[in-house]
Parts: sequence; C-alpha cells; structure tokens
Amino acid sequence: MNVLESSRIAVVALRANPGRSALTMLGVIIGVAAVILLVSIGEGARAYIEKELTGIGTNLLAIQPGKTSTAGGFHPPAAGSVHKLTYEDAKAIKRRAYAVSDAVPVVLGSGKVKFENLSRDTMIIGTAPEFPRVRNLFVEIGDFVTQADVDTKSKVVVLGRTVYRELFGDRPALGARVTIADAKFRVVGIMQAKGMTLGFDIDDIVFIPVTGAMELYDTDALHEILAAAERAEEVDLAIRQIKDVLIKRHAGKEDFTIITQRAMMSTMDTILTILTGVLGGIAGISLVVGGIGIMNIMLVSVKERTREIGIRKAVGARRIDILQQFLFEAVILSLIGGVIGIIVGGGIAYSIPLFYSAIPTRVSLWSVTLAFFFSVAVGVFFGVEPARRAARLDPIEALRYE
Amino acid sequence: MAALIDMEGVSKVYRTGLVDVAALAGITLSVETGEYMAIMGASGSGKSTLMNVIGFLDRPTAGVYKFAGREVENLSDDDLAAIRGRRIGFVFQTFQLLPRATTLENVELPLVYQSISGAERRARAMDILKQVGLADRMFHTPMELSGGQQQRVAIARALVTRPLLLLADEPTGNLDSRSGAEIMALIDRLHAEGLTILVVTHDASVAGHAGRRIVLRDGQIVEDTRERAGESVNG
Repeated sequence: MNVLESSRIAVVALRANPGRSALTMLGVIIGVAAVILLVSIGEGARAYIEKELTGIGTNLLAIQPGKTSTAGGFHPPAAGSVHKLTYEDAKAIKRRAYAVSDAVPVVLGSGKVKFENLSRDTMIIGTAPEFPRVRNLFVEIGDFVTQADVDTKSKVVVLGRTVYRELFGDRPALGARVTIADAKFRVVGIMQAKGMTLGFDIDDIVFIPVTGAMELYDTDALHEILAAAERAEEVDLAIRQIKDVLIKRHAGKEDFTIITQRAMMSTMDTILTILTGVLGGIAGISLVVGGIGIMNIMLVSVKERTREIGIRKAVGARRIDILQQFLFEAVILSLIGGVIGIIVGGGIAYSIPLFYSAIPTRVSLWSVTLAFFFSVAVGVFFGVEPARRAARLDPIEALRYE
Repeated sequence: MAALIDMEGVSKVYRTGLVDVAALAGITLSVETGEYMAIMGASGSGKSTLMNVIGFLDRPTAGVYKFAGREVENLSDDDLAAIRGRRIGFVFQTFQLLPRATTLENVELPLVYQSISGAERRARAMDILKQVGLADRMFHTPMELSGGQQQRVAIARALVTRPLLLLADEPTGNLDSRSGAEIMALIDRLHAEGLTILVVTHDASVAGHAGRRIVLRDGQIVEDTRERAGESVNG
C-alpha cells in the first residue's frame, strides 16, 4: 500500500474523532510553540548583545589589574589584585605601543550628585578626553573633559542624559555648579542619549577628569585602561605591545589581564548558547509530554479499532500495511501539530517586541526546522509502539473482539 | 481436475496453560474446484477452526495442506495475508464491515491492499455491487442498511478480488428468514456461475443448499455425504 493511501486512511480515521484529534494535537502545538518561542528569545538576546558589543567597537581592549588565566570575560574590577594600574601606565601605553590608537584611564565610583535641592545617586567615571571616541559616545551640548582639565585636576563634570534630566529637567545646565562629595563641579557638557547597553544605563553616568576622580576617591589605582587598536586586524599586535610596555613597567611581571572584544563576545556567546539550549530543552520536555499524549491516544485507538484491524487483515492487509496506517496517524497528528505550533510560536515571538520592546526575539530558520523535524520524530517515536501492537494482532482474535 | 483443497492429517492444537486442546485432530479432506460444501457440527466441534485454517487465518500445527496444488507450509504472516487477499473471499456471520466506511469503500477495501489504482478499484467495486443488487446503496454506511443488505455488501467485498474460494461462516446466522433465503439464493447463484463455496453452519436448511456435507465432532470428520447439487433448491 502506498504512502498516499495510508495518509488518506489515517486522515479519515482522525476526522472521525475531531475533538480527540484536536486535543492530542494541542499537546504538540504547545510543545512546538514553546520551543520556537523560548529559542527565539534566546536567539534574540544573542543577536541583541552581539549588536551592542559590536557597537562598542571591535578593536576595543580592556586592560584590568590582576592576572587571570581564563580566556576572557568580565571580572570584578581589581578583585584581589595587589598590583595597580596607574595613569602613568595608560600614558606609557599610548606613547610606546604604536598599534594602539588610544589608551584611556578609567576610575569607577559612585556617589551623590546634587543640584539645588535635587540629588541623584549615580555612577562617576573619572577618565580622559579620548573616552567618548573609544566607546562611541557623543557630547550633545558643550564639551567633554579636556586634556587641560585632566592636567589641572579641574572640577568640571559632563552629565549623562539621565542625570541631566533628573537634576535640571529642561533648564540649561552648562556653567551650573553641581555638588559631588562636598565639592563643587562646573557642568561643561551634556552627553547625547545612548540608551541601555546590556542592561546598563549609559546615560546614568557623570564624567569627571581622571585626576580629579583619583583625588576624590583618594587612590592612584585605575579600575581599568580602555585601549583601542589602530585597526581591527592589529588587535593581536596591540596586545603584544601593551604586554611589552606593562611588563617592563611592572618589574617583569604580567600582573594584568587584557580582555578583547572578541573574547567578551565569545564568552557571551557561550553563555547565551547554553541559555538558549536550556530554554529549548525545557520547551522540548513539553514536546515530549505532547508525544506521550499521542502515544496514549493511539493505544486507545488501536484497542477501539481491534475489529477494524481484524477485518483489514482478513481481506489481505499485511503487517506493514497496518503498521503504516497507525504510524501515519501518529505522524500526521504531530506534523499538523508541529506546523500549527510553529505558526503560533512564531506569531507570539514576532508580536512580543511590538508590545515589550525590552524583550528582543528572533525566529531563526534553524529553530523552526529543528522544531518541525523534532515534532515529526516525536510522532514516529511515540507512534511506533501502538502501531506495532496493531500490526501484531491475530486476525481471528481481532475479528472476535467486541 | 486437481483438488482445490487437499488436506492430509491436518491438526490444530491450542496450548492453554498445561492442557493441550486439539481443535482439529487429523483432518483429511479434498475439495474440488466448483464444489459447494457445508461444514457442520456442534459448537466446539472444530468447524470454525477448520474454516480459519482453510482460509489462511490460522496455521495447522501438523499435517499437510495443499491449496490450488501448492503446499502451504512455513508461510509468513504476510504470505498468508497475501493469499487471503487474492484467493479467498470471507463472509462472516456478523458481516464485519467497517462501520464508518460507505458500501463502496467497504467493497474496495481488499483491492486497496493489492495496490490497485483508485479508478480501477471503484469500477470493479461498482460492478460487483450491481451484481448483488446494491447499485443504489453505494454511498450508504452499514448503519443505514438492513442486515440482508449488509451481508450482500460483505459478499460483494468477498467477490471483488475474484477469489478461488468463498468461505461463508454462518452467513444467515444474524438474518431473518427472508433475508437469509435471499442470501442463500445469491450464494447458490455464485456456485452456479462456477465459484467454489464452503459454508460453515449448524443449520440443516442452510446445509441443504450444498451438494456435499461434512460433519465434525471433536475435531474429526465423522460424516461426509454427497448429494445431487442443490441449485434447484430455491427459498
């Protein structure tokens, strides 16, 4: 008996019990939709983060104090480190490593920024004039911290967009004096709005000269040095040069870690691949449950149609014919369920960003393909045993069955 | 003419727990092509088992069974299914029609398993249904038919494969006497047209249609009588 004939018989049988077929299918629909949806969220997060990281610049390097042996990733700034990175190190890198276009010192801190009776707890970054260029940030009004400000430890501040709005509303801020840790700082610039990057509000920051920040926090250690390679393909050369410069300055010891954009991306990629896999796996469990539903209903169906099987065998149906008929029923259930599930899951995944822009989703071809074949595989896997039972029935017994 | 059915010492032993039950105990039987034979006996005499073995629904546990000159031993389930589908037509007491399928679909069913195209299947089924007088009931389901009509559908299904042998197991058992008489008249007609027919029955009036009668008791043939053929017996 050919495939078309088996399909036709299976469809007739499924249509004889529309309610039951629909409910059985629902299990698969939910399973497949869940796989598509959760994987699309995972994939969306990955695409989003990749875009954000690329936006920062692919030739970016971060030099952090302390030696770690891992390939890359985020480390708590200065955790457990005894060897400091200094502003002098940053200047030496810029001067001597010719593959490095910029080496920007960064001192991180937090504190209260006050203006009149308003105040806001925010992040304070002490840095140098090249910072916006390295991180793809732009000043909207006024100027960034200048080299002269750094050299003279000027009490000047550049406000992030969020800080400006909170403290000043729509009023002009240039020239105004804000208080940071009991010291008055003159506002010289306001940054362009950048929005959230990796869940971190880059507008909720104020920038001051690195020298001023070191004085404010009473330290001469930097949290990190941000460096940019002259060209993306010279990142490896830049790393070698930075190492040469710093090892010489640090008494022959490599007591720092250079994190590349690429390493950060591959670390994030690993995390997100695991995340996507876990999400897909959880959803896959519901698909397996749907498959068990198919098996359950097929076992009932074989039992109910024992006489039909006997009749078919009496008029010449071979084992394979019966097997094929019941297997096709299971596969058609899971196949239609899979297609509907893909449409439902894909539809939800596409509409989520329309309502919640914070959750990026991306329906990828591979997840659709995988879900489709997985659902068919579920039908085959859970359909085989009931179909085999049907095929093995003794025709005499089956004809007598009431 | 060679015998269509040639049995030599055929036995069928069922193992039920520790006791072996011999449903057939050494049957030796020969049936010629074109014969019309009734298999009689009380319930438990083995007549149904004999029909199942003859019709390849069951295998003998001992003895030799030759069908149409071929010895049928060591056949797989699928071989048996193929012989059933092409050489044998079954008519059962309880009709055994697919309840959700139409008359036409029921009659087409054996041809589905012979990979015959839809158009030819349909043409052959329609042709047979006309012969059994059901041309106007092709798209009815069994539920919408009378018992006599259902049995005629079953006969049409048995005939559509152009079998060598028609096996009828109590074909009138579930019918009123008038429908029963109509069915027997139809079977008589098929015999007159040359078909070999075996009827399993405990009803002497049904057996009276057949030209030959065998009686089974405890799995053995205790009587084998031949009369003048029963074509002239009508209703």
